[in-house]
Amino acid sequence: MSGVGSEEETHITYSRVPWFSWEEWNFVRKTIFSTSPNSISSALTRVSTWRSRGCLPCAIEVTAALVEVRQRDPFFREGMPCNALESDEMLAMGYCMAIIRLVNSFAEKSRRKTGLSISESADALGIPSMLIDIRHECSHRELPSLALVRLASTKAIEWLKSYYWEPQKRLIPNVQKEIKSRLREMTSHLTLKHHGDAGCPPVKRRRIKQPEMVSGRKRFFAHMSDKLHSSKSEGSKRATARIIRSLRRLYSAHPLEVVSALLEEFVRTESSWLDNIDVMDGSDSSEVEMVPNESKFHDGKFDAWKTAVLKLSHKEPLLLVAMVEEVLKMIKVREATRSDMGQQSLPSSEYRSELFQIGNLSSLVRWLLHNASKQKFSDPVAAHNETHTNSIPKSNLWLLLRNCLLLAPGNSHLVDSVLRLVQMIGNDSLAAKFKKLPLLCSLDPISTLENCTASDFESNLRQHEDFLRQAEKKLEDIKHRKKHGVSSLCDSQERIWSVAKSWSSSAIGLLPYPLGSFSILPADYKVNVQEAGYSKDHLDKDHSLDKREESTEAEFVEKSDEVVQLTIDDRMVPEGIDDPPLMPTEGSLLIGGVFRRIGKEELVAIESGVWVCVTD
Amino acid sequence: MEKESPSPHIFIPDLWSEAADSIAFDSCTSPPPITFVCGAKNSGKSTFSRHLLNTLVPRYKKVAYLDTDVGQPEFTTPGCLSIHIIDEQTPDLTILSMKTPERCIFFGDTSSKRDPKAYLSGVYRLYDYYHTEYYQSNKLRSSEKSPLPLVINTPGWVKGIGYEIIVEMLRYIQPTHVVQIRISAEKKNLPTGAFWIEGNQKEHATLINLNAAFQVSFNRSLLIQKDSRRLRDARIIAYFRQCLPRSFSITTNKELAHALASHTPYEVPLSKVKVSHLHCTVSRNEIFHSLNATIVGLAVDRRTSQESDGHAPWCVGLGIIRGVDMLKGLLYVITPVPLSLLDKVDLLLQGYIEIPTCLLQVRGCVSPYMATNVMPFN
Repeated sequence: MSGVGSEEETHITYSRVPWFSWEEWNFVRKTIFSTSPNSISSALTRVSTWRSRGCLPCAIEVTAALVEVRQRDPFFREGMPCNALESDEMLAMGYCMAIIRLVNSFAEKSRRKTGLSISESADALGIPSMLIDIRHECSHRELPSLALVRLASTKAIEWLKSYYWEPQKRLIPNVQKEIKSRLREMTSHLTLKHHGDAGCPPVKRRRIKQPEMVSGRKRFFAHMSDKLHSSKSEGSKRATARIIRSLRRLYSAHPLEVVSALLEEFVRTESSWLDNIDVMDGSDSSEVEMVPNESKFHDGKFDAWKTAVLKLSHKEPLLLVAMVEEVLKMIKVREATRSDMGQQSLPSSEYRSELFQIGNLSSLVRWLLHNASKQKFSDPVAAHNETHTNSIPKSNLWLLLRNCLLLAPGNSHLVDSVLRLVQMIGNDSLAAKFKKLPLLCSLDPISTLENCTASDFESNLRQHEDFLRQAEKKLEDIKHRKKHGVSSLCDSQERIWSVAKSWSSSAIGLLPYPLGSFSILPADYKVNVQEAGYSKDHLDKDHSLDKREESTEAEFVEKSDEVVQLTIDDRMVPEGIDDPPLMPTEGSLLIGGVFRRIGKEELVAIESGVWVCVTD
Repeated sequence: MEKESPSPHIFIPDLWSEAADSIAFDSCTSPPPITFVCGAKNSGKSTFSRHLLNTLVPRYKKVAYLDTDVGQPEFTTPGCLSIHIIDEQTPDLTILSMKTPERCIFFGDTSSKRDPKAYLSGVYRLYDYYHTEYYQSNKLRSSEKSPLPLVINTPGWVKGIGYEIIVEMLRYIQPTHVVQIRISAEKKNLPTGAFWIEGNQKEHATLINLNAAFQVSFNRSLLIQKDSRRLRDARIIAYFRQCLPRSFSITTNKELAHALASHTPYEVPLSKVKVSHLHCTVSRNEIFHSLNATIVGLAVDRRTSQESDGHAPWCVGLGIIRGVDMLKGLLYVITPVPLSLLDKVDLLLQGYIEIPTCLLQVRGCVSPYMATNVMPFN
């Protein structure tokens, strides 16, 4: 966080770039300098795709040119088949041209600006003088020897790394960090405000078990309270508006990140709260989770968090829907862990806390939907010229309803949420069908927890699963019918162009978020991967006790920022593979959108960074 | 530099008017005049062309206009070669007006140097179209229509390869009138006389030399460069403004950017259209990455008639690929082309025509392709 007042909002300079995200850029940076020919060729493919978009920085262009020639040079590539050999002259010309391009695009341009000589401006930029000599030699004299230009190519690549790739890497903004610091800024700001309203000094705070936070926050608070007292509420309003503006900017570019940061903040505050309250107080727990944090949480952090969400969602109406979607995913994961634990032994304290968190998250869903439904009818600000963003698209509501239903049995908050969604969809016949849903609440595992035995519990779970299966079956039925209806329509008027069915405002190059499926480019593959993980076989696995075994064969793995997906897709054809495999995709992994042959070591490396999503 | 502004005071010298009058009225109506207007950059070719159109329209009712200036076409977006049938005068020559062409070919770059051969074949195809539809007497006689005059506007690149391209065009088209507009910097002009004639062939075309309407100041070239980029963007913006109803009050680019961002696009499955990169090769796997947030030409590839074989396909307009859905294999496209016409489109052509940055970086809707913290590229 760079101080409280930031002018940067107004002074952000954007440049057109051919990459979708810095992750994509980073993918190329890592692979283009790797030692594996396949990785290199995937990087080169991506660079040529960038070239097709125009605006390719010349540092990248020259790097790609040099690397491409080296890819063809047996000197730099051991074990290359002999028939792929280029003649020495061809290679030397390739290197020379790349070097000329390098010198011209850097030294020549700065020479024109400053009026210095080529060698002087090359010196200023740190370009090795060998490259200048080679440029001169092959423009005006004879073609330099291959040995010389090979050496020069190494120097040129080193220079490009130090002049462009490394400095640019250091410049990449850390979005996650920025979002987090902005959110924290906002909640602290709002917390302060709450205290100010109540008339109590902000330093009197509840003890929180997070020492590393406390000291920093204390200082921050002291600083802020000084500020608050000296400045008028006008100023604080303006500050809030400024933070909201920057959050909106971040949200429009990185909706997923903002949503997950918001929820992380929620979970964090919630857990710090848990540390301070006796969770195991049975009579209390069910009550507590019904009324989230309002009465219990006096230091206003939750209020601040909620105010922050509401303020932001007032400007970005779809935020709430997106959050609900994410929370449902979180609940799904927790449910999985819970049922895992519950089946192994008697309910443990972890099990209880898991249940408790599910309860909390579910009440959050209810709260979010409650506000989302209010918002739908009262948003005079956005209503004026952004008609599309004003209402939540029906398709989103349907999707939420489906996800909610899958988790609803035995969860009163989610049952409430389902009813809310049905109401929001505004379909009368649907509403009638859902009237009976609250009856399912009698199965609430939280309320029966106190006097349950292991066998009771198991039967409860089975019932639970039955309900899920039934719901799933019915949904499949509906989907089936729907599909049929749609396909018969399609047949009659074979049209390839159509107006998109639902739409809301989004930046060019992105799809509206959240739509049923997201704007997808490999850097964002995480999203699909999770979606895919929860596909149809999700419910069928419920019975099996050996969950761990199944989870090891999860369909996807994630490794740092490269997302790997084992998918066979016949549109994708492997590229740059020396010995073609029997099947086009056999033994290959789809990495960054390109199929690559994967050796055992690489697999082991991936495995060490595996992130498993349990899918029962 | 008043003359550099987008709406300079148009001044038509008397000599220009006389030249236009002589083309319009001194020649016989059948065959009608085919006028080739050429000259260096910013000499006033398109101004003269439009003046000539205004002069021809009263006499012929309809006039064909072949625009070969892919950098700054008169009625279409940059990167397009087009032929228009003009049937009304445009009194104010300063207003940027978009007209739907009779036929259009998407060349995909703002200079013919990217691919001279493809450029010329596009020009020839458009000229042939004019020739068969509006000039060849038998075909017209049956429908009792008279042949139309043609005005050809050309690019201002008259040196090196640009010169050779103009020569090729002149030899193919064989115009009845060649109007050359000369600027005071002699070195930048085309050669005088019938420079395109080979050996001792005879030339029947009427040659008219005119002087540019204003003097060239010595530091203009730099200004023109900057200005032409802005003009190109203005044309693209004006084109995509047509996506939105006229009743929308949109006065600034910012408003337009917002409106386009929330405009419901068309969707098309990638499997149902072909994608062709005009000036580079892109791996099939990478097509989504290549297309997202770029401008494409919407072309009709179906080979319905023999004449289209081996030629560039007709283009019905441009579209912005505003988003891609890799899971569903869908492209989302914004275009002013109506759905009825769009249904014929089965080929997307990608060139190097860029979306103006002002449409990409409006607050709250910044495209992912506009990045911060980018190392300055030189």
